[in-house]
Amino acid sequence: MEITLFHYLVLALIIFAIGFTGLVCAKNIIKALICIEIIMSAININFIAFTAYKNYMFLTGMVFSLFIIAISAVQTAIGLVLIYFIYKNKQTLTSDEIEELKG
Amino acid sequence: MLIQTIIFYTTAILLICACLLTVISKKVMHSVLYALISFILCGFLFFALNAPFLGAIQISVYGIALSILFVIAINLTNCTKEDEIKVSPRLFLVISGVFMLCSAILTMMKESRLEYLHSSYLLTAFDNSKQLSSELLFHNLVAFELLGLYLLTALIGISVLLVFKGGR
Repeated sequence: MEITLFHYLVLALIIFAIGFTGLVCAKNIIKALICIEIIMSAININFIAFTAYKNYMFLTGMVFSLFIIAISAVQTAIGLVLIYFIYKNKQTLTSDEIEELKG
Repeated sequence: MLIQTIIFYTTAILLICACLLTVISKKVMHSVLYALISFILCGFLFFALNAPFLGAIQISVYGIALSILFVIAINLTNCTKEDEIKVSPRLFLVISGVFMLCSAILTMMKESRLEYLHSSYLLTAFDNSKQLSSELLFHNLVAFELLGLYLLTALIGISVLLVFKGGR
């Protein structure tokens, strides 16, 4: 049985769904951040699979994937710093208890 | 071909299990460990897709650097409270509906357009790092420079936050 692009797309879809479910349902902010990284991994799988199977001569998807990895690493670092400050002020990481911006 | 199939299915099943365990785990430290496994498996998938440079970056950045950052953050925040996932029935219905819709769209795409995209289009050359670097240099140089500027700005921003706010 040959592995096609469809297999990679289904795998990325499943991982994306798992990450999205975790992002919506997690109460801990660090866990939500981890779920965002899982979603980013699913997106990277899509980009690289399309490059590998369809447009191999230009590698545009791989360049996009490289940028996504770098930017998501930065946003995680900034997010963790913000989480640290939230914990310092509130002594909690549960998203239900942090409700300053709630309308 | 059979080896490729076995590698793909093994990696995919392990990856899905690791992602599920990341979401389901009650302790955040366990979630980080399972996420580490899933990131490394994702890097193996990139190797299987003839992208060794990105696989190495995925393993080193996501698998090692970000996991260390998460562990440090958990230790700093002393986050020992267990996090229990509670999915309401309505939310479960919405998520499963979106998932089914995406699956249906993918299946329709497979029927119509994706059939000709099979692995014979993959190049036999495994290492494409030189090709990727030339792509970055000749076609995406401005974006690459902007990304470097963005990283520098983020680094300065984090340092400023930690120096001026962290000391108080």
